[in-house]
Amino acid sequence: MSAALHPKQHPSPLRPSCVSWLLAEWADAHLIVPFEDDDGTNPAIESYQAAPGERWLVPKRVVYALTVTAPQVIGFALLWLGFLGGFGYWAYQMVQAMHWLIVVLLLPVWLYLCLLFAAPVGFAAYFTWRLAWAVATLPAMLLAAAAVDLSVSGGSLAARHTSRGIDALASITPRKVERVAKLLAFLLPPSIRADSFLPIFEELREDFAQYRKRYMTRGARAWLAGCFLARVVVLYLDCLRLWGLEKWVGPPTAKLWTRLLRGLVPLLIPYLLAALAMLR
Amino acid sequence: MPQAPIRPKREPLPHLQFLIIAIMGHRKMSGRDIREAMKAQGAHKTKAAAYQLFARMVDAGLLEGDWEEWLEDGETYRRKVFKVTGQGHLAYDRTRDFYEKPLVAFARGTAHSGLEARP
Repeated sequence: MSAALHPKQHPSPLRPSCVSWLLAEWADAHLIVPFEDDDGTNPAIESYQAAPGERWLVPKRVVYALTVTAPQVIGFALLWLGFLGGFGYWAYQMVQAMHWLIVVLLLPVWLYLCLLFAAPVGFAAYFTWRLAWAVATLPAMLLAAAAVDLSVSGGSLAARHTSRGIDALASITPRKVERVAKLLAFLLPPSIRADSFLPIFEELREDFAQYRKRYMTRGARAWLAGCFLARVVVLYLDCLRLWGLEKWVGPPTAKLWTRLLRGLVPLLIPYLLAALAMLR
Repeated sequence: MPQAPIRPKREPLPHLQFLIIAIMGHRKMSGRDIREAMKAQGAHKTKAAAYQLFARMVDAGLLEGDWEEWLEDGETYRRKVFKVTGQGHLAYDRTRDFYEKPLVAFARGTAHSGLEARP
């Protein structure tokens, strides 16, 4: 039995692909949570090497600059603009409000006030920008990485290095999903599971199998699997919605709500009378 | 222990249940086909809600639900199929009569509100 190898030591199958590299760079640049090992290195970033024959639809430098470098630079610029703007605003307010001599005398207070009010402005501008950019660039980044995978000819060693994500998605079969979905459905009450979830899940599974027969390419199968998973999740949420409706709004609890309202009316009458008396 | 079917009430069926029985007639239909026919009639429901409605009708004894299984490429697929029961047809007739009699009377001009003086 062979000992488990660290991803850095592992041969090709576990070598980070361009997708995991870009994702790790993005997370490293935008998220506060560090994605590093104990030794302070990130294997997804440091062990990445472009596979031979790897072609990017958009040049890799452009993708990196747009998703990682540009937001950092613009974010810092905004941070400093926020600071300086805040300082300037408060300085102007103080000079307007009092004599310049008092301003000089009260310089420490002025600085303190500027820090107190300018820092939140700067930080708020900075973090809002970073968050917005991170959320906006994530799909674009994943699309760019997916375009790399699709542009590499299938079957070659290079393709295997760069397309683990799509391969994993394309290898999803109805049987694999069935197991997960049925385990997931175990959280639903038995009536909803048997009456609503399972029949519809079987329909989706049948559809998925039919389409899988029609479309054989890796990209198409990955897309079908993604759609299938999304539809199962939507179905699951719909079942949860029905469960909530049945439990809290449906006929079994309608009597309870009515009783509660009836019980509350006598309690409310004195308050209503008091309110009327006050209005007079 | 299987639950005893609930006896259908004497009152007319709700509109969707009436529509479902009208669509199915004496045929055995899958849930998907029924839903599509309902949609064509302008009665759209989400998949889960539609199947919940079918399950309620099965509980009320108006429909019979069964799983239809088949083997394809080594995989077993299942489909839920429904059939209207005798009680379902009776409930359908009763509902149709309930609405049809006043309609016919109205069309013939013999309808009355019940408030005017009787001879």
